[in-house]
Amino acid sequence: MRTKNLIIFLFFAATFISLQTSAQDEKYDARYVSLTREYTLNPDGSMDYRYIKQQKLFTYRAFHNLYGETFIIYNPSFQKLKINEVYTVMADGKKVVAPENSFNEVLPGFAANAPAYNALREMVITHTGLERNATINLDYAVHTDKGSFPALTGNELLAENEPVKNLEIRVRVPAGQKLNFHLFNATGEPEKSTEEKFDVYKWKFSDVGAISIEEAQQGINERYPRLIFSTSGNREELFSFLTSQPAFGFAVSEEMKKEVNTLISGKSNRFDMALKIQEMVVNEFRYYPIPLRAALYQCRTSEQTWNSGGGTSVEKAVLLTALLKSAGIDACVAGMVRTAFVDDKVATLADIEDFAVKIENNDRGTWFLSVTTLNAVNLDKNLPGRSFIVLQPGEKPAVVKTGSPKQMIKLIGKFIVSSDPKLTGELSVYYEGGAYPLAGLQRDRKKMKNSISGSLIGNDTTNLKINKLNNENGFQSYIVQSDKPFRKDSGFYYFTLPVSTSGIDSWGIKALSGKRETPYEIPSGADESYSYSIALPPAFTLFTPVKKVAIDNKAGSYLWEVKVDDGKVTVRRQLKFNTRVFDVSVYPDFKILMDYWNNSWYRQLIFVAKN
Amino acid sequence: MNRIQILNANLKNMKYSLLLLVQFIFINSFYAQSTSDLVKKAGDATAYPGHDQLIIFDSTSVDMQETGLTYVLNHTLTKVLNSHGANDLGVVKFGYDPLSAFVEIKKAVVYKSDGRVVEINVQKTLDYPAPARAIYWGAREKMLEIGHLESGDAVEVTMFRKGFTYALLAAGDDDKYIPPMKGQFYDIVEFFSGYPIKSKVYRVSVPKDKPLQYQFYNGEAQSSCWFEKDKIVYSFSKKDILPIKAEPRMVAMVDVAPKLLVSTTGDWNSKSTWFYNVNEDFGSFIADKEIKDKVAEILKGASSEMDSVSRLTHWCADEIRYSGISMGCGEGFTLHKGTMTFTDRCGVCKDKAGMLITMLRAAGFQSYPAMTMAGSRIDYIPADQFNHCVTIVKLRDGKYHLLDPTWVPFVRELWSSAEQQQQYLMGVPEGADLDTSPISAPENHYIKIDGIAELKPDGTLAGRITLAGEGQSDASIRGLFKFTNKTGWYQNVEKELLKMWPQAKVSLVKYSDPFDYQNYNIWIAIDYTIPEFALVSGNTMMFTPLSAGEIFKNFQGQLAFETGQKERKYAFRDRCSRKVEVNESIRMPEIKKVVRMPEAIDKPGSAASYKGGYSVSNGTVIFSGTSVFSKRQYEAGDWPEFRAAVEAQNRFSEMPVIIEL
Repeated sequence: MRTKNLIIFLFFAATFISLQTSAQDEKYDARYVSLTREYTLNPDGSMDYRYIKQQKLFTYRAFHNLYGETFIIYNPSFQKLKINEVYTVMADGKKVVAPENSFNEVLPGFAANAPAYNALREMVITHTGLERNATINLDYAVHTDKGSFPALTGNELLAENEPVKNLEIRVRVPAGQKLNFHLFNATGEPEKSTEEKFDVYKWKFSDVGAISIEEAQQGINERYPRLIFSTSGNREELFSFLTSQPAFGFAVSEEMKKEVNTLISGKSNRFDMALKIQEMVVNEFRYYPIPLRAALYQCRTSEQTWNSGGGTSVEKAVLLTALLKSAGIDACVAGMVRTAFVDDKVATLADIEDFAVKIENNDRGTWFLSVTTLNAVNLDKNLPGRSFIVLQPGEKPAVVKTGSPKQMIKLIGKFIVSSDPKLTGELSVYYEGGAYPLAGLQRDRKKMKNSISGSLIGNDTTNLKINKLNNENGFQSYIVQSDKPFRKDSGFYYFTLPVSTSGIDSWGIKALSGKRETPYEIPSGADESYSYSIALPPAFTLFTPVKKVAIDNKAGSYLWEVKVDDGKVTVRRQLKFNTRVFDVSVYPDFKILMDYWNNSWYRQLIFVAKN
Repeated sequence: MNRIQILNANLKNMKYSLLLLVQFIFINSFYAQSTSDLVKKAGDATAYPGHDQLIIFDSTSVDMQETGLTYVLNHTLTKVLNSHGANDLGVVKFGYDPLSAFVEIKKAVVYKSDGRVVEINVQKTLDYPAPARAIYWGAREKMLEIGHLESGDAVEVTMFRKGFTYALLAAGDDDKYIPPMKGQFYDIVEFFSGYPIKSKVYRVSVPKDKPLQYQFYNGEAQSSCWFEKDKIVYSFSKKDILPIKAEPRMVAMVDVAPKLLVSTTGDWNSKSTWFYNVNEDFGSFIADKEIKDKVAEILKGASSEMDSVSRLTHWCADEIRYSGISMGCGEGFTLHKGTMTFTDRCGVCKDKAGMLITMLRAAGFQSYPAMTMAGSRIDYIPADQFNHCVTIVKLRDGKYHLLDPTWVPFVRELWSSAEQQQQYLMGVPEGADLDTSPISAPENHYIKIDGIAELKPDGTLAGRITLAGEGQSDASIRGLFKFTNKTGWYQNVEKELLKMWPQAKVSLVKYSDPFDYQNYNIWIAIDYTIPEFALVSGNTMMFTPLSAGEIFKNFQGQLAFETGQKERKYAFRDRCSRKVEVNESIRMPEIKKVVRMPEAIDKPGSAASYKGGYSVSNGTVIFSGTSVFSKRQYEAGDWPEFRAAVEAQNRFSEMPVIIEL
């Protein structure tokens, strides 16, 4: 009887667990039954990476759009790919082994126009026999020759777009060799064991939740568990793998020198010179978007990049640095990493996302220049959560953290509307921090003016009355004039309040869901305010209600105030945020502020003309 | 083939190659000046403002052999006008399919603006598998790095190619470059570019017994024809060709820009029977037991002829994913065997079409493949203007019906109406002429927006809005669900309202099962409350009904048209024909006076029409409107009607209702 009860209990328990799983699965397109990533440092210095997955597909989307192919990037000159097995178990249990023609080697798309990286290959494995409830089985390994990487390093996001039943990360190092590691956003120590001549570290996780598909999550997967590891604990030594390459000699040819001299001739301001040289590197040299790791951390010299007419991010950074140096400007290459995952004890190159160039300028201070776009704002002012690792040959890499970006925008307008009705008056603009386009202004004096919507200012350069451009902020005042400031609909006149297109609107946050499961991140802290006074002709009255909305909550504050005084309408509109990342508990407050900000009634004034 | 034969064949190739090169030198001696002079005198960025490059000349010489094999020499000289142009010319690339073509960069020279002439070492040409997504047929590219260029520099490239785009069978040496329709030749020559062209020449010599049919479309070119030993030579040239200024949503550039079609094929009928035979000979449509069992399983309980066709079409559409792997020789033109596709459960359009033919035949239907061109017109000269393959089935009515398993996954159609007014050629035993797919009535693709709501005196609106669609409109709405996993569905629907009214509170979101598309058309319902929906000023209230605004705009392709342009020069296209019906009733607070109710609009038309307006009844404001867009592709002359219908719909979103309480 007891046995029977136990069987019944186990049956119901199994049913319950199975239902739990399928209820969970119902939300997702697929589930990893198991996923293993294994890294090995061999005693001879060569390395192996092995990837094993068993993935069950639930939806049409899973096999039509998501998991039909596996893409493996490698460089056959230094790496060997071995496919151990690829097969699909169809829903009815039939095993379909991937046929020979389902393995196709192509050039990775990012190397399409990069002759120097033409050796790279992407193995595309087309999974055959896919259908709903089929399971993909894949096992492959990549062997990397000794000397290709400076150390065995990894930067492992421990979550996928689908739930994972069993996730395992294995790192195998020669017995006795130290492995430095850091597990972020999760707790637990690895299982350590010995396999022949290797010490093996295993991190095992079960029932790993999927990455949320919500937009504007913090730092691109920053809140999910992550493991970084390295056989090196010495950042200086590791970075020398990069900086000891000839590229970091920053040599320039006579042709390059001549070009730089032509470019900067007649310019006395070194900051302007730097921007001009940046312009050349960004615009006149193709960008090869090849990940640093795929390029095996190799960097061609500035002369090679110059002659070929294009380069990777690090190569363009080296080229820009070399050209700047040849112009006598203090410059160096800087790698960009996520601050949240920097640990001095775990030396790795695997976390470098991009490269920039740091310059020191007597007038403008320290500036970080992009090598792919003409950044109007110093990169350290609008790249939240990043650190710049300054790379100087023979020197310990210095780390510059960007901190939490902030921006301030203030627009003040005094307008007079004539009976025509035409609008004249003054508009002053103040930008500070991440919104202040100092470099952009050096290139285009109308940069601030052009960022104001409504076309009230016009193209006449004489409209600019005050122009104070400092390092951290800028103030400009314009005379405004508009013959058609309103949209007219029968007897109603609609005046859309001028706003900055460089401010909060530029983030594109228009529709915030009522539900939120993850923290919401905005690009920058912000304080944006508009204050306009409009003197109306006698025939005009304000239709928009006189009203004050003042909200002060955990996310920040919002103000809308419309007043009428002696034929003059004044309107104030302001939004301030207390923080840049809004926890789920604060999200409703953030949504309240943004909803008011986006509400079209609070972005315009409506007037009525008396008959 | 022994080594001597190979050597002879190679020498023969070299001979042709050298001959073409000599011919080219002759052609280009047409230009009296040296190349450097040509570059200097060609003009610069000021002469061609807004353009990145200038093609000084683009000359192609084609030598067709009796077998249909062609030797092609292309010679271009392109001048850099700005940094974008310099970056684009920094590498030169040519794609080819190694199973059927051979490409060689024979010469590349840079003429620097300072007068230097730099010959690029063509031995450094890279030959590699081309980047690819979705279709993995072993395509390759040859790339030569030109390097850093500056404005005023020019690049001269000579390229030799032999072969064809597709291959059917390969024996040895040049045999694999012989086109699948053996002994035949065609070409589609674009006499336009995104850059200005100063001179373009296309010359082709064919055996005397294989005269060319040709036509120059959308413009004029200088043409001539002469005999040269055992060949007829045709030559076409045009000077000073400027890029056409594109109009938004216009038809494909190839439909309106100058182009030349040449073909030795007699008529489309020959092409049709050839296509039929190619696949029948290969045995593309033979079903094995596994397929027959699957067909029986799918058709179990089928109620009619159309039900059977529908079930099989949707099975192939949904269960065979679009991903192309190569079957080797014959890839490109031959449909994979049904047995291969059934096992792989993947293929490109032709393989999905082939799977459906196999299944239809297994079910006793008469079915064949057809070729078509998605995205542009097929002109009547029988040159292969195809990029897509579909299925036809003969039903009891004795007619062939089009089916497209590639374009109808999760679509409530068997032939996608996004392909209406599209030319196609059936591959049938009796042969067929070029035909055009029929227009699908707008009612087959309706969108219905219905709303019922109550407006409170404080301006709050509360109610329900529903959306339903059919045909291609159904498919468009279903996209809200198809492209994200279930965790995002609620937000996707909610966003449709929040985009317009960010402060809206959604209390309920309901929708039909997005994947049960064969049984139910899509519908969505949203229950909402929108505080401050109406602007209340004193005792006056101003508002625009949800359905008169831009809600569900994404599913109404016509609203994406920019209507600022009064006239159009070229034909234009929407995604599909469509009918939009809007009905919304809003229970109002007690109305003292209607200050402004926008007037009704009636814009009749045969290509497009709109009729809509407001009424007030028993304290309820009712807004209704119907737009009809009658086809997918419109003539330029249809634009005034189309524009008027769109503007009429837009007009209501700009004119609020104003009432006094």
